[in-house]
Amino acid sequence: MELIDNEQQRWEEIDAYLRNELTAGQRTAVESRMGNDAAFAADVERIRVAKIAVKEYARHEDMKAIHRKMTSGPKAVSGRWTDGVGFYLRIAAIFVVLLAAWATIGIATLSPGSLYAGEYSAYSAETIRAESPQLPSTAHRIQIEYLNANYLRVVQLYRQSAAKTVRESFIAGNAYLALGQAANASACFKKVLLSSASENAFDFYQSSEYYLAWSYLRNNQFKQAMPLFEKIYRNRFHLHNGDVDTWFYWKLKLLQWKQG
Amino acid sequence: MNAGQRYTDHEIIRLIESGNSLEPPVGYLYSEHFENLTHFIRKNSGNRQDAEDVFQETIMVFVDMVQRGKFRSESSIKTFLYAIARNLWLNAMKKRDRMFVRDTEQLNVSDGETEDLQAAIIRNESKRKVLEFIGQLGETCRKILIYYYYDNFSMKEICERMHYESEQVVRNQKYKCMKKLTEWIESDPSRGILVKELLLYGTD
Repeated sequence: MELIDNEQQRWEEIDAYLRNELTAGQRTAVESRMGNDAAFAADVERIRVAKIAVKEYARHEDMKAIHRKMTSGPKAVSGRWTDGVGFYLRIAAIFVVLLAAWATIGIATLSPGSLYAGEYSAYSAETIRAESPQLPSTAHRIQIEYLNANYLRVVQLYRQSAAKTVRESFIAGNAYLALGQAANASACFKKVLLSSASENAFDFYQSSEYYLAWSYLRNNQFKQAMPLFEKIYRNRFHLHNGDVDTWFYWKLKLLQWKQG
Repeated sequence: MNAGQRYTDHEIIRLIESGNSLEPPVGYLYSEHFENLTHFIRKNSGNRQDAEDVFQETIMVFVDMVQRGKFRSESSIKTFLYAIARNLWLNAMKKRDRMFVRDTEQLNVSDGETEDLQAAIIRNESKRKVLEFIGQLGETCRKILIYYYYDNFSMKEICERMHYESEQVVRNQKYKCMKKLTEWIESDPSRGILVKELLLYGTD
């Protein structure tokens, strides 16, 4: 026991020496003993080695603690914002926000007028020319004026026409629509639908349904337009089925929902 | 670590050399390089845990080299960390008998630096064995020794922190722990050499 106590005291003295806690005189005494007492010098080295091992261990533990802190949880490593999976999540989040904003703005601004302005395209005059090589003079002149986008002249000729055939009414309806006179356009297209049977001329029947729907939409008569568009959308054999695609149909449904 | 605080390579070296808290510079190294090095490990048959282990080891080797003045600053820290990580991962793969590591990047690390870092990696391996024993000393011993030799607390402070009856009880306990540690070091000549090597480069 005595031996252990002596060794413990000796080690405490060495610790104090290594921690610079001794007076100048005590330091000199320790250093002198190191030179004269091999066992004592060995003890000093033994404690120095153990002390460094402990310090290394503690430093290692500190590093492990930093590692745990920096690698625990998705927000722990505050790297560049373009690093890792977080970057893609941020991009996805931005995309979702932008999409939501775009959808909100789209819904807020959706109206029959905006739908018409964004989606309507006029009847193709080229189609008319190709379909009618031999025409009576009034119908032919109406078509020529329509081809040249002289819509007022089309309307004027149509009014002067005594016959007001299905073809003339259809072209006039499109001219009225181009002039923004949706009510007159509707009247023309309705006339086409009514007269087609009596004249046995169904060439413009389905196109008149389609452009009548646009005329209603232009005239803010959504409740009249929707059944026509729906009919065209659901009939895959309809001449204009391809014009009323799913995306456009969902816009119509959205507008229908919005209008209650 | 201040969020958003950026450091130059020179500042990081200076902070690590200073011996003050390692958290600001090391935390910055994590934030700047962890994901890139993780990507390298995962690209070469490693998983997330492998990547974390390799990065931790990489940082330890790097800090050790800086503190011993063995980092020459001939290449950037980024390149150097990448070189350490690559070496560590190659070693790990060899141990697993899997050699499929794609060296996709040409590293601008000089031969001298490569030798230094390989020596540091070996030294780190050796050091780990010593540290493992200290870890096995028990919580009480670890705490007392760290408080006394690393944190430089006085016996009175340790007594208060660890709720001992008196300073003398702490002294006795510390002596027993040191005795255990020194006996373990001296019980195996190769262990003694390892620790001597630590002593040679360590900071007293």
